Amino acid sequence: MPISENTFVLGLKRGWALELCGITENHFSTRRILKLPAIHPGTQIILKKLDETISGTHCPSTLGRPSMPPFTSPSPDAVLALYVKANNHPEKLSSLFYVFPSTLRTLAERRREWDGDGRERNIWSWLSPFSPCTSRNSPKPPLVVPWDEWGPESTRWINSEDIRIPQGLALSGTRCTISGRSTGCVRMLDFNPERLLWIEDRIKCETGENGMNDCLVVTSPTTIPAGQIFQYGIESKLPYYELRKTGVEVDTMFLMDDKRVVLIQVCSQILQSGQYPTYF
Amino acid sequence: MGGETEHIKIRNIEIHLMQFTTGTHHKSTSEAVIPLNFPGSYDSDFKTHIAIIGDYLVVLLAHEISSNVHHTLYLVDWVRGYVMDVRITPTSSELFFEILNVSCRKDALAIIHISRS
Repeated sequence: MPISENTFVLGLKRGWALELCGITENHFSTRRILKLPAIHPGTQIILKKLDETISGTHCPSTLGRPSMPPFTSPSPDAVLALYVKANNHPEKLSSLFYVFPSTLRTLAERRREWDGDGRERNIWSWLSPFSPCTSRNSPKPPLVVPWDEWGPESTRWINSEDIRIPQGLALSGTRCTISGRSTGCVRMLDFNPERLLWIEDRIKCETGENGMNDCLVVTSPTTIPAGQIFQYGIESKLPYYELRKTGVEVDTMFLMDDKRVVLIQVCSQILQSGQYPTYF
Repeated sequence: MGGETEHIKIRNIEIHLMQFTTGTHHKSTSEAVIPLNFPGSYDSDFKTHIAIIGDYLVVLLAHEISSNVHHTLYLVDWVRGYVMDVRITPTSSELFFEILNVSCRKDALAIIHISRS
């Protein structure tokens, strides 16, 4: 009989991977371990999930009621945003990456025939921080998926050395704002595939190109070069579009939902007309 | 408070499931208080993360054992009121967790209060 299964993801510092876990027959079962890009030995790495901003109501389908204006609920498949920092590096180098939970669910539920030759080896003991002997049920060895087999197609990496993390970030639904520490530039990245198509068509109709002024459609691969954190360059391909706004003060706060981004700054001077708040 | 194994104490936290509207014990659970045991101690690194998936709660505790932060993951059937599975990190590691597929029950809006003892 088919078993309805729920899935969650664990970020593993030891083993440097994402562990996809399911709940099966009343116990945890590891479905896949997705390796992350190789880092230099000795790097004290931090991997954290970026929480959604408090504006907007999460999971409208489960609550069964609309959110309150002016903010609306994010789309059901909100993008998962994670950031990576090197703790022992004086410049606190960091990167962001994005992946859709639906992609991870698909990877977790894929049949084992997909695995290929020689990939089903028991790496549990050294990769997963959870020891099977401490569990009441001994799970089967999980499948390890190398980074190159899932990551480049399913993620998008952004170099975030100039970003205050997490203060300079805000996330809601498929959208994430990134505030530069020194540039005064705010980028709004949107991974919503339907809006991406709409924006792409609109820009191509108007300019015949992939971008105009402060709007850029990114559907081609980008590469973060190897450096002091990562051993190799990280190629990623998840499509998105980006809006940019310059001249934003560094200490600006963000409120956002799936339609609006509001930049708010508290100051003692009387505001000039049109200065704040700012909307994307 | 639990027993003692060598020098590592067994600690206990309790999950209280209450009706959001009334603050009384949740009508869908057979056990209003679900205890979770873990070895080690409370310290500044002690953290709890909790998520609800249908009839299950997934609870992640970060706690200290012999000056190292460990994580214990619990699968709790909150309707029947017992712990179904426990996994503990044998070594210090850092984790986050995120639920990918949520199928909440309609009556699952509850106050989850965690108390230490």
